[in-house]
Amino acid sequence: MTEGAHDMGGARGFGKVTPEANEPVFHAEWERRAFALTLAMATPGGWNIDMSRAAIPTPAKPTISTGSLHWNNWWRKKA
Amino acid sequence: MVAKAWADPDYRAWLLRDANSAIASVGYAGRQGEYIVVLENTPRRHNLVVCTLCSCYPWPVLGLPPVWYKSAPYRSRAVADPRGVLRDFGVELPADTEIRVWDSTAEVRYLVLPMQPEGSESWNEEALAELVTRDSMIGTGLPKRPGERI
Repeated sequence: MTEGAHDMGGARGFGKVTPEANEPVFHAEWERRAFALTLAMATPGGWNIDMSRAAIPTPAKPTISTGSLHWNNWWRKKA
Repeated sequence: MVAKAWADPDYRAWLLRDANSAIASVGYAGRQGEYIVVLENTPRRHNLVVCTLCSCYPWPVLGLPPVWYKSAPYRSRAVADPRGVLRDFGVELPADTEIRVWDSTAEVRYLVLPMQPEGSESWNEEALAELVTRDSMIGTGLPKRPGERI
């Protein structure tokens, strides 16, 4: 089974993939800001990709499929 | 880049041999694209790219990934049931086509070189580029066919 939000390959129960037609890059302004701030902080060495992965929280149940959650994770990484 | 590979056998060979140099030659480079490997689709083999760990994706060439790429359903099922995932995208491949799934690592980003659609053999690079879709370079879609060209 999975450990945290990583190594998700082969896990069951998450349902179908649902592509969104004409999907925007960001679904809300705060997502854009979370992305920009996080990347900006990488330049002075604030984090690396392994720290970033480790900061992604463990899903309690299989409902973490929204884009908002993804960017929320980016935001939480900086906390 | 894909269209150039379809139109120019030498570029295609370069892209498959040393993707980063071939991609940089047309102006794409940067973060999340430091080490790119291009996977060639053939009638016998279809390549599909996933990142089961999180959301690794070749930003410099494809931009930021769509929500479905980052979602749990795609990441969990792409490796276990790639045909089922392709069906979610409306793609049905011949039963004898092998599907090879590539799971991104911390460093390597994969990019699919789709097969050139039938009927476009005589087209130039610019026209061919109209047939290339983002999903066809991830492996969850096929390029547009000449009749679908806008």
